[in-house]
Parts: sequence; structure tokens; C-alpha cells
Amino acid sequence: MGEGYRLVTWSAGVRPEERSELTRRAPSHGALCAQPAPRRAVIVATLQATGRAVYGLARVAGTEHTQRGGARIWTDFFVGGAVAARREGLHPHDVQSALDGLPPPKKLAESSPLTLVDVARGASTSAPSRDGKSVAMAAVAASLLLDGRVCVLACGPASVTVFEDALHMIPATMRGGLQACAGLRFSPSRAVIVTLADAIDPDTVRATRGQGVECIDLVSKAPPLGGPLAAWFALMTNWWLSGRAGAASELTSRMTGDWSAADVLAVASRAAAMGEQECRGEALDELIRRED
Amino acid sequence: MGWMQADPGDPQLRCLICEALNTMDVAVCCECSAPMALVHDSVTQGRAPQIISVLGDSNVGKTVYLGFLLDMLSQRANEFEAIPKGAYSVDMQQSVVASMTQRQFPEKTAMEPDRWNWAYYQARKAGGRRSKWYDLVMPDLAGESLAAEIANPSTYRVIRSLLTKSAGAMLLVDAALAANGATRPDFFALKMMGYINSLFQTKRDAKVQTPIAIILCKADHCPESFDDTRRFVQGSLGRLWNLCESRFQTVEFFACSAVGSLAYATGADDDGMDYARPIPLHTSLQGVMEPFEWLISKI
Repeated sequence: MGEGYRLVTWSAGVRPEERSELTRRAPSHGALCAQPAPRRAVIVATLQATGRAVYGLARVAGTEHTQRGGARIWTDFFVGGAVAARREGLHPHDVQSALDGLPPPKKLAESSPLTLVDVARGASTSAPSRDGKSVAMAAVAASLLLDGRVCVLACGPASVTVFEDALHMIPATMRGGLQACAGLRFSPSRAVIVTLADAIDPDTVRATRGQGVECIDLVSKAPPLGGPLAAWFALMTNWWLSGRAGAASELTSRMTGDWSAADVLAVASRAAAMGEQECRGEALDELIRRED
Repeated sequence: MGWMQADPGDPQLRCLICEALNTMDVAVCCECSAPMALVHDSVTQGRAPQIISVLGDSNVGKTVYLGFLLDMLSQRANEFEAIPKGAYSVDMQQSVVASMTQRQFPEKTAMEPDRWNWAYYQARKAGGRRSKWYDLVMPDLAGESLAAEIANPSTYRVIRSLLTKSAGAMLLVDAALAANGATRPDFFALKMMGYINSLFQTKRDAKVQTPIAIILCKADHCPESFDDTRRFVQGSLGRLWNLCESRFQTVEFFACSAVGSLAYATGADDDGMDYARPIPLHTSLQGVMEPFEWLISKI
């Protein structure tokens, strides 16, 4: 758990070097993008110190205590084992659901360790329907998340939602190892590959100039779907637009284990022929069954 | 000054702070996020600037102090002449003066190094053409980042690099809190000086030579600190005093105040939490220039 500038309390097992890194990566006041209330942000990354996966969920927690910094930002960090995180491909919603189920810590002090958290994959797999533009933005964001290009994506005020939708479109096994944040202004100290912000402001242009960071405005003109999984994301877009967003996210959350791009594309080609009524339960299991 | 020169075969510049190589077109260092304009300006000057670090706990008043100091310099206070190098150097003083004019304290400095303010000034004491120009780089760091770095060294490597390269430092301490018996200012200063000691000390018994001005901020709350600053430090910041005496060769204590009178606005925030916001009614600068003059004389 962080409060912008210091870790307030942590579970046993979070190492000192990880705590330093979390402190450095945590957003401080003024880092949240302009967005409608409740303002929040999401960080999905791998800790450089130990290679463990970290999920950061930031929100506004009252006014900054000195009354001169605007909103105080509170961040809950969930640190998970690298192998398990890659295998499970957790969605930030899963982490949020697990944290919501915990009692608040009795005493916020460094010496009061938190209990370990069990996060179940698919605890919250439902993905709501969106309009065409939001879905298109999420699909492009998903393809760029897997692309590996260092970039800042302008997604408008709903950048966190776009990010969460994009993660719903990515097969669970491919979510592990992503380095991205949403709802936060670009900052090199975040050490992520993809930043989903509300807009490309002059500060972002200045900070990214000459650094090999691409600034892409998805609001004004989204680039076409690209990368090896373009066909998959086209399918996801199609499902989302035809009211099958829930089935789409359920399908991706079931795709754990070892999946190559070819495997995913094979599923895409089989799924393309499925009718709207077929996209549930055993049919989805059948869809992702692979011949060894 | 090899670090300042662009290599003609490989057009890259070394960062003034962390020495990372950056291409010519970058605006902020790829490693430490210091503005590369500092390097461009120092290349133009043809000489290495001297860095003066302004240190202190969160909410002690680093931004206000530095903003007013730069403003006084640019207004030729105490016969100083100062020239800002680049608009970025003026941003902080403008923000401080504008905020205080509107009876508000400036916004808290963010922790992310790319959002810190940096000022690059050329300054000299008026005295004809022979008086020496000083190229000074003064960053305004976030107190929380300093605290995090002291607690866990290498959390913010830029701070370590910055202090290592500093020709002098100003450590701001909250005199009002100390006068009220709070131990936090003493402990923070003790940690900070201990950190500096560990950075600069070369031999076990050697004292740190880097000049450090210890500035007691908000001294208008405790006028006795103006009358006899050393005695005040001995009485209210004893731990700091003892460390300075043991380990620092060139250290001096100053009392300083920027705000003349304060009011408090009370209310409730969006979450219904009560707050008391300090409102600076007017500014009354005392002792702002003295630490700077002393530091310049010792560099």
C-alpha cells in the first residue's frame, strides 16, 4: 500500500528493493489524468528488482494533507510471483475484487504487515458493452500492448476503461509480463512500456522527445489493427460490437497456459464461424481445446 | 569539462547530473529526467556550473525559499546581479511569486523527478568587471523523494548523483516546529546530514568539506532564532548541532522567514474531512539572501 510518496504498510515477503521500486513507481499528487469521478489509475508491471509481477490500483483519497497539492493519491500494490502471474494472466479487476474483500488494515504502520491476498482469476470476468469507438480504441490499445513499442496512447478521459477493456481482449496467458499504466500522466519514473493517458499534452511531448517514445492519439485517429494477432483483435471487436463482450472476456480468461500466436489465430478462425447463441460455457471450452 | 562537449562523431551529450549519454534532441535526461537545457546552456557558457542543492523535509518551504531567493537575485538584492539561463529557470520563481500574490502557497512539488523545477542562473556580486560570475544550478526537489532516498538509498538515484556533484547545499529545517518541541525536524536533519556525510566522507576521521548552510525556516514563529541562531540550534536541534560539530568542516546556521503573517481557512473537503488551510496574508522576507551569500563565499 502506498500513499504517493511512501509505503504505509506491506505484507511480509515484500523485499526492501521491491519497496524502493514501488515507492519510485507510485504516482504522487497531480499524476492522475483528467477524468470523470471517481478518478483512478491502474499500473500493471514487472518489478525490475525481482521480476515479480505488480498490479497497482490508484485512487483519490481525500485532499493532500498540506492542503496545497490537490488530490492525495492512494495506491494499493499487489505483488505476485512471476511464474504464477504469467500463468494466470490476472486482470486488474481480479485484483480489485480480492482487495475489496479484505478488511481494512487495523493500523497503518510499517510494522503491521498485511495478510497475504488470494486472488482468483476470473472473479470478475464480465465486460460491459461499449460504443464502437471505445471498442476500436481498446482493440488497437490491446495490439499495441503486445507489440512492445514504447508509446503513450491518448485515449480521452476514459483511458482506464480502455485499458481494462484492452486487457479483456488479450488472452490471459499473454497478459503476464505487460508493462503498462492507465489514467496517469506520462512519467519516465513509472518505467512502463505503454502509458494510456487522456491526451498528449505539451509536457508529454517534452518528456518523450528524442527518447524513442511514440505518441499516438487514439481519439482523433486510431491506427489500423496490426501485429501478429490483428485477426484475433478483429474478432474481439466483432464480438464486443455484437453484444458478446462477456463471452469474449470469458474466452480470453480461459486461455491460460502456453499459447502461441498461431494457436490464438486458430481459435480466432474457429470462433469466427460461431453464432451469437453458441458463445457460452462448453462451446467456449471446445473452442480453446487444442490437439496435442 | 569533457562531459560538456558534444562528440562530433556521435552527437550525444552527457547529462550534467547523472552523466548518462543523451541524444541532442532530448529535452529531459533519459536516466534522471534532469532538463537537458542545463547541459545545452552550460555548453554555451563553456564552463561547468556549480550545483547548489536545496534540501529539506516535506512542507518545510523549499519551493518558497528558492522561489524568493531567485526573485531577489533577479531584482538585484544585496547588489547581486543574476541572469536566468532559459525560461525554465524562471518558472519556479514566477509560480511562487504568483501564488503568494494570490495568498496561496505554491503547489506541492511532485515526487516524479521529471516534474521537479530546475533553475540555472548566472550570478555575481556587483563590483565592476572583475567580479566573478558564478554559474549556479539549483533544483527544487520533492521533500518526500528526499525522505524516501534517505530511508532507502538508491530509491531516487538522481538525488545521490545530484548531491555527489553539489558544490554546496542548503538544508532547510522547520524552526517553528522545532521551537514547539517537535523532534521531527531534528531527526530529519540528522538523517539528511548523515546521508551527506556518508556520501562525501573519504576517511574515517575526515570532516566533510562541502559547505552547507543550515537554514531555519519559518523563523518568524520563533524570533529568538534570529537573535542567536547557533544557540537556538543547540537548544532545539541538539542532535543536528552535534553531528555538524563532529563531521562537517564548513557549516553555518541561518534564520529565515518568508511569510509575514498567516491566517487559517477552515472547511471540509469533498470527503467531508475537516481541514485548516494556511493562508499567507503577506510576505515579509528576512534572512533569505544571507545563506546564499555565505555559500557563494565558500564555494
